[in-house]
Amino acid sequence: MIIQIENINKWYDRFQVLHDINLQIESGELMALLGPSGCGKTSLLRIIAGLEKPDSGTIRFQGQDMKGYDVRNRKVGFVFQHYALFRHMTVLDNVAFGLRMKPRKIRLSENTILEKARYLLEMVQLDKIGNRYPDELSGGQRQRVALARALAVEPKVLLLDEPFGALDAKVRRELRRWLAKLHEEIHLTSIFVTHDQEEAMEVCDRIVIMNKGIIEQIGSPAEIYNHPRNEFVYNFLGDSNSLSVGGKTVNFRPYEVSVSFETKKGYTEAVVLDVRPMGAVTRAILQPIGNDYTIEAHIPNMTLGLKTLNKGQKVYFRPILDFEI
Amino acid sequence: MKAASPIIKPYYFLIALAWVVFALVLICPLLVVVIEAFSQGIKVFWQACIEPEALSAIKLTLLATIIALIMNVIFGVMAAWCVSKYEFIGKTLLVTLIDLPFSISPIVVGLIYTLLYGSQSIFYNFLIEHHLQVIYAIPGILLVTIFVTLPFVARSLIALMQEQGTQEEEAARLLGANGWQIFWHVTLPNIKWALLHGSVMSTARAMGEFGAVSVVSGHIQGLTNTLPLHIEMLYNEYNMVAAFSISVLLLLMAMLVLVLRKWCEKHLERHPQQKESA
Repeated sequence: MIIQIENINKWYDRFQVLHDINLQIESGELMALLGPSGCGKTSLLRIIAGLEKPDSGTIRFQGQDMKGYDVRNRKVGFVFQHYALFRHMTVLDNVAFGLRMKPRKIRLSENTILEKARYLLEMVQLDKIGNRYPDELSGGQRQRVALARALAVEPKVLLLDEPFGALDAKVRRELRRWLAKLHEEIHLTSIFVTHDQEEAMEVCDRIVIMNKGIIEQIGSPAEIYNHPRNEFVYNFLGDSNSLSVGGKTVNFRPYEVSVSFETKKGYTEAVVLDVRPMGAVTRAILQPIGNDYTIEAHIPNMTLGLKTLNKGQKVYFRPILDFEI
Repeated sequence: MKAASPIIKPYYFLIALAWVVFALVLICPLLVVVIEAFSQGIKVFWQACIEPEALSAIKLTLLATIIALIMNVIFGVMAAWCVSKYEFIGKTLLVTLIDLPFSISPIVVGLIYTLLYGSQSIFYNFLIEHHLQVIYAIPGILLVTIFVTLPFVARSLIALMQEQGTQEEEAARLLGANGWQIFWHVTLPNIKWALLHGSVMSTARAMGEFGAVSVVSGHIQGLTNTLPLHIEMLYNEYNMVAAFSISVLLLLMAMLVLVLRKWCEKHLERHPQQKESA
């Protein structure tokens, strides 16, 4: 289902959280709304779901204006950051809830409902723990239950509000890969809100970068990473350094630094403030002589002389850029 | 040097102290009441309980308690729902007003109601025209009982519901549940313990209420006497055995409420083993 977002404005008291948002989500696509906290991404998601009303603008599902459609009738699946599972119901009852709430005329038989709920639990690999209660599950399990519960009512759209935000790093990585795979299988139009650029990059087909209530850039992960439209997008997508060279400020990533132990043409002299092994690279914090800002450099472990690199040592560096300085 | 004496852990002392205070303040008075009530045998006790004035007092106390309980549950749940799930103008004022009955002396409540609905009141003629006797009649007793017990249910629910937030309700709505279904299947199960607790408190207070009821009741035997008022009357007549007998009766009713609460807790608990496994 195509979702069109047209000229959405939203105010909280005198604070405008969304400025004239225009966006189209294609059918079957998994799109990320990425931005720092307070950028309006969650408000936009809640407006799409119908949990909040925009002050102006239109949300269209498949061309149809959703104004006046209650949350209940929008056929939207929603996954909350803090799961929002029904704490007094078993996992199975949680998943079956939406099916049981349907009007009697269109409600399935109890057996069919249970069968369907069990099938969904199998899909999220939790069929063994259907009779447990939410507080007996790990965070990752809870979120999978929440997803199964949202999918049970066969929504036309799936909205995920920082779904992995409350989980630890390892479970998070596992779950987002699993989610990307699941999306490939079911191809449900989905919007994924996150503040974690790595997550958005890894899971989504298209990314919308938001900041202070406006859209900064829309594009595929590769597009926005390789061609950031402005400094905000560039900085938001990863750690960055900035250095003033010849009156011009250049931005570069920590891995775009060349380090030398002897002076070379175009290299800047710096003192090493800190050295940390980070796996494939070593992270060094460099302070150019006579300046108070620092440069973060990720130096490949194969670099000669790296093993003896120490704090306080003098080195030379230059950004690796497409142009000569 | 002397060998170190065994250290008496301070908590033994604390536990002993707790028991002493507990015995002095709670157990001894209760024992005295029971012993006095049965001092002239069980027959005299029973006689005191089944004389017509006592029976009418029991009925009136039960009536007031049950009506107050129903009102408190309905009003308390609605108020807590409004306060915790919605933002509106005057919310702080409403929350403060809910607590008012806690801070006003019951005797003052009685006086206020007497002034408001009694013969000095500007409503009095209107009430008489419509044959509504409030003061020195049962409606007055019901009104003040509701007033003094009003905060119990609302209070125990508001804090809990504010803490629980609205996400489960939102989730239920997104899954297609209507307002009634959300309340019945999501909100109510989440607040059942607090609701039970508030109801028990409200019931206990309603049964025992003396001050406010005393002012508005008029002490008409067999008509507007509740159990506590009946006890006071017997006591003032130096009918100690009967006074203590009715006290034991009131005590038993309070115990019954506590037993009922336990029973509810047992039956509302989750039974995972009885659930069919997935």
